[in-house]
Amino acid sequence: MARPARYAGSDPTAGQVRVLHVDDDAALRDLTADLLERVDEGMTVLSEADPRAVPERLEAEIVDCLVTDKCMPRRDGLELCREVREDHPDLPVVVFTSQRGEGVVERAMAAGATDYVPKAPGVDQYEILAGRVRRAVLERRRDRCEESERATERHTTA
Amino acid sequence: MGDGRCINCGDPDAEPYDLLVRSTSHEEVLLCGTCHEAIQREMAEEG
Repeated sequence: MARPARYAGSDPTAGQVRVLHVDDDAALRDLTADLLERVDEGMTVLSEADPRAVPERLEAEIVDCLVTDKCMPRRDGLELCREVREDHPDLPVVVFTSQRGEGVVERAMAAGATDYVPKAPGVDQYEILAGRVRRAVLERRRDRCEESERATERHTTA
Repeated sequence: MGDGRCINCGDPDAEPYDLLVRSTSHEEVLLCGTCHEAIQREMAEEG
């Protein structure tokens, strides 16, 4: 990975970011966690092999962004997106998959994904993924701040 | 993935390699040549 661009996608004002990465492949889980944390030192990556365990983990742990593979044997990543959206409507969800083809991005977005990052040869994709995760988390934090300010304004003017 | 493709990019031209990541040794990980080289280089750079 090109060192000067390493933090190009990161915004230090977003602070620490906790990512839950879901993939059925153990080596890819470790690889993704290792490379994302190298690219962005403010990122902590938690891993999960079983998509069915994700709702429970989201209840029990602090997670700023969910990153999921699409094709998994126990539950498809897009089904997981739809399920997560029911209880966590504003949680950033990034689909990280090698599956390509017509309609994949549209299906991911229709399922409630915030963003889609295609897997590509090499390791530069982890810089792209880290940048997209950072951006999504920062946008969510800004939205929440603005919402909170509006609520305070309403309260004080009432 | 488990379908004979590179776990990192999905390339069907993958071969098994042993991979040490996060102090865990993963055996016979399917990777294409490009991904294997890039991962090895990255791991060697920052150990």
